[in-house]
Amino acid sequence: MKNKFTTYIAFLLLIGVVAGCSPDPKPNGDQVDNYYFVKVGNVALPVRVCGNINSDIAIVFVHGGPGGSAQGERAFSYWKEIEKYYKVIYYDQRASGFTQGNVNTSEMSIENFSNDLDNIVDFTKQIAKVNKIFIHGISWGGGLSTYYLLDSNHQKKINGAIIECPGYDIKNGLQVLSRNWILHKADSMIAIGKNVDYWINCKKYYDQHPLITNKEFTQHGTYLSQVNGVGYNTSNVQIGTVSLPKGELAVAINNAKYAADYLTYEGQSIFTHLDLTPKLNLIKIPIMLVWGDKDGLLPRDNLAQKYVSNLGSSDITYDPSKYLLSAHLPHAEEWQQFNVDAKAFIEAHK
Amino acid sequence: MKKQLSYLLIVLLLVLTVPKNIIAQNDKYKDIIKTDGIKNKKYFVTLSGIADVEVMKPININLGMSVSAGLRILYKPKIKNGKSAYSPKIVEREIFVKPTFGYIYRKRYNTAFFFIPEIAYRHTLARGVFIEINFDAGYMYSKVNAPTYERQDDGTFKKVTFGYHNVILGGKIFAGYDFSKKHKTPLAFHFGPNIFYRYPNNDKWVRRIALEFGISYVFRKIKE
Repeated sequence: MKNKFTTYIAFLLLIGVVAGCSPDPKPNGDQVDNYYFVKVGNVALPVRVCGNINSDIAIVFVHGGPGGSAQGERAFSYWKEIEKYYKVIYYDQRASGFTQGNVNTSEMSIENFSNDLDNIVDFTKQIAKVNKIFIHGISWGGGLSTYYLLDSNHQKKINGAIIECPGYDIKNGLQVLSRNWILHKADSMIAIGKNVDYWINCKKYYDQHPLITNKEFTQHGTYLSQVNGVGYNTSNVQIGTVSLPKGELAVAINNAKYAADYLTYEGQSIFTHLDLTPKLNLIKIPIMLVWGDKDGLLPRDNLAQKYVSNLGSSDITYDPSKYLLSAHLPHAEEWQQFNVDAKAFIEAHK
Repeated sequence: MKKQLSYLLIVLLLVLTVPKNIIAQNDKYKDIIKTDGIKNKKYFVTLSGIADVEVMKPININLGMSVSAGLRILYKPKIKNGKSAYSPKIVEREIFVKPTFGYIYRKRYNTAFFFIPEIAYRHTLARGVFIEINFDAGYMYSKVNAPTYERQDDGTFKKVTFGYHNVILGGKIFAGYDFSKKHKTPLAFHFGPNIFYRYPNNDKWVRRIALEFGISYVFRKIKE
């Protein structure tokens, strides 16, 4: 009987050991795929360093949300192509995605998020061993990247920034432009007699909720999705497989809500107070701005032109005649064009 | 007539006295044949495999293990009539304290080590099948599973270790079979779900669900 008992124990131990040692698929010889954490205070930010192992250039991807994650981004075809040439740094922001540790509500400020990004930039130079860094921020991440670049010391560390549909003026972009965009769409749908009741209810919803705060944001997103206001050219989106950290689903869900609920700019909610327009003139480094024409979440008219007009940089790449088939995610919706433009920008400013 | 009356009295006397004699005989046997296992000492050591399940697409399963000891603090057997008076059925009702140590490994995320002094109520039927309910309140330390760096005051990065502390609350429901109840094999196994909440994660409670399969070595000693 003792022998049997020993066998059972050995079997269970074996299961544990095998589970603990299953390896990730190895990257190709010229590719790197390393996983780290960067500790900032009480939190550990997950950082995945991927791409061309010989490249001296890294692109730090700043994800959206707030409360999203960068760890699934590699699945998009855009990054597969970029990783052939450069290193790409996928990191999750505090209280977002697969980040671990406890963040108090008082620590949920854009200032702290910017400090975290600065840690990642320094980490990229020292541990990922590159000399030239570009940042690529999308949506909320575009707003965060913009805020980060307001500091001239930060600008010295960066060769250039790719800014995609940035949430740099959420106050007007969401409260006025996005709201008007969806109400206009609702009128159009009612006019053509499509789901009339649904769109009448939609209009009532906005009458009853004059402000889009963290509480209304999810419902607002649902309405936008009904009319392709977030993703328009979805048939061109190509998503592959990607290995993810074995995180906790409940944490990822909680983080998404927590970040939206408590993220502040100058002590007040980003939903109602974030507007960096008056400070954009502080940004002097090369900027490539990409904005989808069909974006309903942060409508291009007139956010894009206002961004370009107020930047302090003399080196701005922006073409309003491009990305006409994209909404809020041009790097996924028109990734072939984005690849060409991003590579040209990076090569011109490396 | 007198004979008939005497006969009836004898019969009546027999009828009234015989059952009493039978019961007395039964009691007598009870003194001689002890009900096996009614008084016993019992404790056990359990080794469990844990599958922490994330119901997402694809389903994410993370494995772990735990070791616990079951120390009985309350025992209230219940005797039920069997087929005969010589084979009564004993239902065991027990409360255990179960100090439990374990871990759950999450690749590229963390290894969570936990200690839970569980309180468990176990109801074991006569055949050895049991149901167990556990109430858990314990401590968990999660150590992140990748090289971790921290920026120093001089701007350089130094490799550090990082983990965080959580309080955990939860419970488990198990079904199992105790071979030591009817047979002489000192083993038991159990299977069931457990659910617990850890705090704090961004000042909130976070739920975790896991399945557990365990095998126990049961020390059962009949009291004289």
